Amino acid sequence: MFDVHIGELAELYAVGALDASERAAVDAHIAACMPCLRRVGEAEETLLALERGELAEPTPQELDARMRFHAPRARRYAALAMAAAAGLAIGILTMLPGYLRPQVPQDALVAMIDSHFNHAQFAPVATRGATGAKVIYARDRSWLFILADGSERYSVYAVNGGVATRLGELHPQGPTSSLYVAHAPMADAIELRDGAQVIERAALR
Amino acid sequence: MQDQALDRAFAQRQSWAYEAAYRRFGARMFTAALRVLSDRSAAQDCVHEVMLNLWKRGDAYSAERGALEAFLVTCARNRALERLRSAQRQSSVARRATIPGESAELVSDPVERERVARAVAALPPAQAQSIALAYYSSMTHSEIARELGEPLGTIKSRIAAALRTLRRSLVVASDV
Repeated sequence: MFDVHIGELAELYAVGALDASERAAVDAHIAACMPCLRRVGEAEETLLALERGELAEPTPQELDARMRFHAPRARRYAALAMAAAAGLAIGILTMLPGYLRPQVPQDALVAMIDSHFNHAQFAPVATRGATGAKVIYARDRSWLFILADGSERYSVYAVNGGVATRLGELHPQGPTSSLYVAHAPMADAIELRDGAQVIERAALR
Repeated sequence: MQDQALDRAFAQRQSWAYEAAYRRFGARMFTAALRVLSDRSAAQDCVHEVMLNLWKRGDAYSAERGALEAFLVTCARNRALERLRSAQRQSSVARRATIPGESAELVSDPVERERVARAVAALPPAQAQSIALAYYSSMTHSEIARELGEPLGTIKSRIAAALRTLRRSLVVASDV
């Protein structure tokens, strides 16, 4: 259908001005043509900028439920997987001294169920350390979850090649405090800080 | 950086990325579909269908394409347009022209709305008219050509030029 590239059809594709057969032809072309794929992507980013003229409407609960139901997991084993992951997570978390019943956010549990993860113990850096904190993190570093004993609102930093990025702060909940980071940056270590002072550090494998 | 990790994981079909993408971008997808259809139930169906189809296909998105959010929003909007056009073919329903800020269903972001309005107003009048009909009135290029009595090639060029100009003012300018 196209001589070499799709040209201005990229913009028409993104704005929805093509009919179904033309869209299909563009889809087929960009599956094998990187320059045209990039041009379509750029046009889509412009379309997104136009969409931002409206505030995003929260998704209805009914849709959320439908999406959860059809989430791409091995459904037959979902209940077993959830129980196993929760057990494993709680098992890891119970190594912490001093806390009673950790509150693990739903998002963190879902992430643990859906991906492979590691864990690491924090080691004190300052003399006032010893929060008994642990970090559980996806092997691909896409998420991480920090749980500490006590209610200190320490700042959490991801350190990558010596460059520290603040991720947030621990949120006290009962006898523990925690932070779940859904889209974590790459890091070789996680630090708990009180102001500028590093209290504890955990090295990630 | 954080979005790029999600984009890559979605392209690699890591299952966590499917739910994470919906949690992060579902509202914007739903809003895009709702603006086209003005029907919450139909807009929900669009988002649901798009996410399921993308997961089944597996090869529809690659990180080289650009931002995952832009891709997903475009997919949701185009699915909504397909529904709208199908319904119009079947019932000859008059096309809705949903101008931003005037929709009964949606609330404008005053800052972004003003930025978009300024960018569109800065376009040459013929381009602004073409992009308004394509984007805000959801018309195809052939429908616009008929509406304006202009050659199809002229309309295609105007829409493409308008979108490229809007990219410079709305996307590239934001990145610097």
